Amino acid sequence: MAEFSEGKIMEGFLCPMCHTDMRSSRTLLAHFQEQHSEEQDILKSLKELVGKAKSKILKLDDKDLETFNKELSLQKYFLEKSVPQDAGQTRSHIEYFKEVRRERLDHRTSETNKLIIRLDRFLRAEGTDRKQIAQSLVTWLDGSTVSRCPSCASSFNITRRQHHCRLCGSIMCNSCSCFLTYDEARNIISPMYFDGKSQVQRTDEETLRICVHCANMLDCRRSLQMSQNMQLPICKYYEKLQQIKYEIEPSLDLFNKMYKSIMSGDVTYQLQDAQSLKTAIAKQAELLDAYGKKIASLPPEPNIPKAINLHNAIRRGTAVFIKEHLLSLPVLPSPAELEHIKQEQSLRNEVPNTYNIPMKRVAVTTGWSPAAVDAAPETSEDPLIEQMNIVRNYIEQAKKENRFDEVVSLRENLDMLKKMYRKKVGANHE
Amino acid sequence: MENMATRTQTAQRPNGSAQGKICQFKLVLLGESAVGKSSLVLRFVKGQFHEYQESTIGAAFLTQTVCLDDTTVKFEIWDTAGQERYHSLAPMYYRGAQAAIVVYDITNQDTFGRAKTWVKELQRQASPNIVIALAGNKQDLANKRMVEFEEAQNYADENTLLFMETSAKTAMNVNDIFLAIAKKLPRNEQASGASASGQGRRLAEGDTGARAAGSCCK
Repeated sequence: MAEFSEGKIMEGFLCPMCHTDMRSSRTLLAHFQEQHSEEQDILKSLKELVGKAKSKILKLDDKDLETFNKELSLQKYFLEKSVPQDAGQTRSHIEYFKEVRRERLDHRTSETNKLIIRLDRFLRAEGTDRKQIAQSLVTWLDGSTVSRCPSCASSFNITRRQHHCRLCGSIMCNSCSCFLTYDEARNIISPMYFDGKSQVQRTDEETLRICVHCANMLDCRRSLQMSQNMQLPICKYYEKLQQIKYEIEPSLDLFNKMYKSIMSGDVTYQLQDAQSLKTAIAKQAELLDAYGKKIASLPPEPNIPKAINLHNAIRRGTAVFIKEHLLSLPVLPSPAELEHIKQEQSLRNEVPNTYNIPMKRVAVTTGWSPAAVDAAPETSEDPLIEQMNIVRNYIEQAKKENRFDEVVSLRENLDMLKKMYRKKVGANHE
Repeated sequence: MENMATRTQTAQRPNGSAQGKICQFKLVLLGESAVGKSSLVLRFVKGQFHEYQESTIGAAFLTQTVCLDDTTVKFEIWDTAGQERYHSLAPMYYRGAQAAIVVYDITNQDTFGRAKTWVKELQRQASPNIVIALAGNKQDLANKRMVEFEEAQNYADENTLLFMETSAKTAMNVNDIFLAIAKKLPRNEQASGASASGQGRRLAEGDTGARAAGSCCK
């Protein structure tokens, strides 16, 4: 309800007839009924207006109350801790508390937003005269009426000079001023700057002079944002947990393949290779279990009562994963059993496999290469022998890294080299 | 008849997402020494390039996996030494191979001549289904070029070879040539059927069963 009079802006609960600020809707209505009773039409419309506004506010209130009650139920344990009341007259202060709180929050939010809008404009403003820019954004308080610093009550004189807050225009002394660096200011405007290059200090370190109140409000907002962005330890652990699960999968595929191959009497893979892969998987499983336990033993979050349930659920989930995928791995046969299997298989497999299968089924892996063999080549040595030694070295390296598909390919090659060598030696002897 | 050559697996991950086919191919690199065979593979497998790559002894072994649509192709690469002394080893590597890259240096006409000899040898001695690619390496030194692009392209066309000029140093066409080979391989195998190419490994039967059973979220 703003009214123009002589080009001046007034705000508040203004009487439409005499333009006096009545401070609240109730006093305004009373004033109108008393002073301007002849204007019944206007009174009626005024009442309607107030009624509309009221119902709107009340509606919002209900919504507010709802969320507030929800909050309250979440924080039940705070109330549970308080001493139980004796029977008798009780009175709820929730309404009052809510009223006070809402006013404060609204005020703070709008004030903070104002500061941020001004800060944003200030950073965007072009021109070299910073003082002029600052004054164009907010009217600076007239210094002649202020004789003492409002924060520390020291009087201003030639040595203690007046300074203006660049964000709200208020006055303070130098020792009560806070300084906001431009980088910090940019962080506040766009929180994306939180990570990365913004941390690098600018060479020309420029600052903005602001008052304690403004600094406080900006700080509050920043710490709120930080706490929203902060990663909880549980997230960190859980990420690691998932990472291990992801890494373990190809190993499991490979192991199951090796197991089947071995149990069918095939000689593609060797027993001890499968054994060492199983050991590697077991180690991963232990690590997985350790992370599960770590999450379960995290301290309960004071603000999130259900967090402890989550911790336990993750722990149980991990245990189930380990049990179903890792502990259920088939037991490899002993060398004696394997021999037996091979014999049985060879009896059954009298007919040789006539199919030549150029494509092989393999587990997915990423690129791999063994380190170069740096044995100095002796020119006298047969290249075949040299190559056999290289391949042997590769096999060792592949084994160490659990690259058993590679081991198989390399062994195949080594066998071929050996065959060639024997042929060659035989030919030379003849 | 079931075409054994194209039999591939469909592995079931515990989370239920089906994986595509996975095939493994043996690929051999041939060419004069110092044309950049090792540099090409190193770029392909590790994404690295060394200005002073040591010369290869015997044959080096590397693996790399590429994905084509729903098919995963694993290359088992034998990078042979270019030096004369190791030439007796080469037949052992190209005989079992499903693909070969013959490399020459575009700044050296002799290496192109040697590449042609390798191609001839492959056509005579290797598996008839082998996919041969011709790579004119060191494309970054095009200002010192001694082998014209058209000349090589014409030769490749006559012999139905894949052809690309590559640069291990700038990575130009390196992945492309391997991908082109991967694309050509399965179709090639399908067209000609199971044949004498390569000594296949016996397949371990279906991998899918044991893991999927008992999975809580399949």
